[in-house]
Amino acid sequence: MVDEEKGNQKEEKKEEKIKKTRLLLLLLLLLLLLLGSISVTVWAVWFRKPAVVLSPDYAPQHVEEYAESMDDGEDSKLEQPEGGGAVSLTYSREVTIDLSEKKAGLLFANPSKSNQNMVLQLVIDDTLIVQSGRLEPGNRVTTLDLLEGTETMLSKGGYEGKFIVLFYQPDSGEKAMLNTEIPVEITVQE
Amino acid sequence: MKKFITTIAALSAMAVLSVSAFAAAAGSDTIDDAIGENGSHDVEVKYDDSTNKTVYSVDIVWGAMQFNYSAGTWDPDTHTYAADGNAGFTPAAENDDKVTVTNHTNKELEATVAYAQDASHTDITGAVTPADPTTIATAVGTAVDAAPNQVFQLALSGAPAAQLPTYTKVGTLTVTLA
Repeated sequence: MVDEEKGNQKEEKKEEKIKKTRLLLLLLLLLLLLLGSISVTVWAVWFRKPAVVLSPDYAPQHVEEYAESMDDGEDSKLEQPEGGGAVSLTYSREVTIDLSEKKAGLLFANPSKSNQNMVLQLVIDDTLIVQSGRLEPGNRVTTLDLLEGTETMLSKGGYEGKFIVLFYQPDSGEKAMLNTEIPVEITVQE
Repeated sequence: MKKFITTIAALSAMAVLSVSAFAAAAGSDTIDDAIGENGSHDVEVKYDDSTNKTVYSVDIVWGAMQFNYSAGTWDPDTHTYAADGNAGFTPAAENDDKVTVTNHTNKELEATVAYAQDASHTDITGAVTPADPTTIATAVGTAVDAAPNQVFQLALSGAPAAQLPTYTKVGTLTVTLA
């Protein structure tokens, strides 16, 4: 009788040990999962770089979706030397970025008197944040989408950046050998 | 009940009127001071430009940027090219080498034009005149056709490493508007 009780106690102890070991393993597994997810989050937020976007050598096929007509009443075009180009730029140097909306608020226009299509880029520290579609003469933009993933690289505050304006021949779509850079002040809001 | 409501309404009206009177007299010793002895008050104006963003308007016109290159005249006695007047780069047509920046903004702006050679044509260098950032005056007080502008001129030097039978891209220009 006593032996039987002792045997039972031993088995109970064994079972308890096994339970404890299983619990420990489970906790260890959970800890590993937690560490893994924290590592992935830290990498995604701080270290992941968005896909490299190259400046197009030919004008993009798609017209910028946020482009709106300026209705500037301009009928005449700028005089353009043969083989050269003539553009007019209207812009403000202040840009706001709304991280929750993933949008940039700006003022940039390609007035009707221009002879070239344009693509507008917004760059911070050599990183492309925004790239518009084709902006034809007579159109302006006040909103552009941030490039995918770039919102994770920015935080609330002020940045110094620049517009890069690329020009394209309307008939051939070829990029001009001249481009323009404009320093801008960027305010990032959450 | 009716009397009670009327009393409350009358008291409320009195309270509102007294608050208005205090507001008018705020910063003045008396209400008379606030509205002036003759019932008049100064109208004051301040130029506040703080809410107006500067909107820049700039025209850029550039020539074809095509240049012809000649090594000079071949001298059979020395087996070298003589550096005569034809040697070097010359614009293919008048104004082909020029970039004009015109300011239509109500503020001055600073313009710079810089040449960057293509990685495959490092044998040809370019220099733009003026090289330093150049201030272009505000358009205020000028006619649209006579807006302030600056002409920049590109000059190429060096020699192409290979024969170029057609016009070939050797570099790019960047106009910076600060």
